[in-house]
Amino acid sequence: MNQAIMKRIINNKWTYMLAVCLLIISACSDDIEDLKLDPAESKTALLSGTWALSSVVQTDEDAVRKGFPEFVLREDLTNLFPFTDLVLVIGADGSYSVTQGNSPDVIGSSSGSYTLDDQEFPSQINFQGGRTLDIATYNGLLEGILTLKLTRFQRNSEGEITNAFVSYEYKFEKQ
Amino acid sequence: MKRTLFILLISFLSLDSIGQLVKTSPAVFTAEDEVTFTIDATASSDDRLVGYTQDVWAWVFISDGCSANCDAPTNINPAGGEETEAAKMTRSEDNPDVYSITFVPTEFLGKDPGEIREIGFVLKSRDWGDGIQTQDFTVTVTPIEFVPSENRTFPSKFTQEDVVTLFLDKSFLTDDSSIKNLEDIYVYLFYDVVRAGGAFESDVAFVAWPEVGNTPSLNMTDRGDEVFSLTFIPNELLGLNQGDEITSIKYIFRSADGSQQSATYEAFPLSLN
Repeated sequence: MNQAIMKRIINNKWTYMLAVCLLIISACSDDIEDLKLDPAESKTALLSGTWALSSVVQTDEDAVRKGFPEFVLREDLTNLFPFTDLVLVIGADGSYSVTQGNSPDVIGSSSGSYTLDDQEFPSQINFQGGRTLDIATYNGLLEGILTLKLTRFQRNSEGEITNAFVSYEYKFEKQ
Repeated sequence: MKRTLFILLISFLSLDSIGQLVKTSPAVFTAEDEVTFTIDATASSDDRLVGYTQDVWAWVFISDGCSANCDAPTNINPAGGEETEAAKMTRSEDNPDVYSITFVPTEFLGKDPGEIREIGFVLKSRDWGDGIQTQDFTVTVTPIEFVPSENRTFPSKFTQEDVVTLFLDKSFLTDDSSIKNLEDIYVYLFYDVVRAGGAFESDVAFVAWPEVGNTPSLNMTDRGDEVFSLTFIPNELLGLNQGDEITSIKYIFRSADGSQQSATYEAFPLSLN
């Protein structure tokens, strides 16, 4: 490559723009890599740990559906029962155990194995021998807040699931 | 079949408590809920349908809340065509004079929920000209909108495994109510239950009336602004056995010594099945 051609490339504004774009893409890809989780253990890794129940909110889903006023939609149950006694241990090996104390039953079983409906982006965790709870949100998971949700549905005369009538949102803090 | 029998049983029990001739499951429902209506022809003052063995149809209409076109689309006489199939009653295998039908009122009547405050029924043979029918029956429908009152359960629908809160809002009590000025309020709780073995027990008290004031778990919490509440889990508080099904929870707000009390209120847990 002769000197004249080199000079033209260096002076070309598109060359600079291309370089800037490559720099941005390169920087972003580092961040994306940081956020990416190994599919095999992604959410399992974030879910595993010792979790203490910190709050419980009950929602009247039937009232929500009917557009009832705000003050009849939700109740904070956290201090009405000793829910904060409950500690849930989710193992990376697929096992779980519950120390319930005097808390009402939340998980439905004291120990066993659990499964996720999707290894990479799970929306439900099935505590075998107990309940299946929704993972209500990923928000807070990286900061050590796990939000699980139990929703109860009515069934019609054919046994088909119809409307939700009540739900419970359980917030756990990682210990 | 077992499930059907259970629903029928619950329906019969509910009838006694709410005093309607048409038994419904669930006992309390809105126009948007699926409901099973059960009618015993022998309860009709017009007994011409008693002992009838041919097909029977329901003539269904809105008896309160509707201003025009208040008949169900299936109200076609004579019955028997496709258009009336949805109104055909199911005869009980156990009692041929008992009929049931299941539908969602808004869908069956083709009306908005606000227009359905009461539903009317007449059971009839294929043709009015046969002269075989029951009297008119009516069933009250719970309003779809929130109606404030002195008592409320939260959530509005629950099972016996759920957390339930009973609310008393004294601001809705009349001035002559004996509990209007109470600051320390207790709840007398009693319930109807179908035991795991099938036996029905009515008005089972959690604790006897004289013991209520000595039972902290029945003491209501003052939530401010004249609102009091009591929160419990029926299964846990009432010490039910595996397989017991509560069909009705009744409650009375009262003073510690029981000398002042409210009316009796009632809530109907959804079946666990």
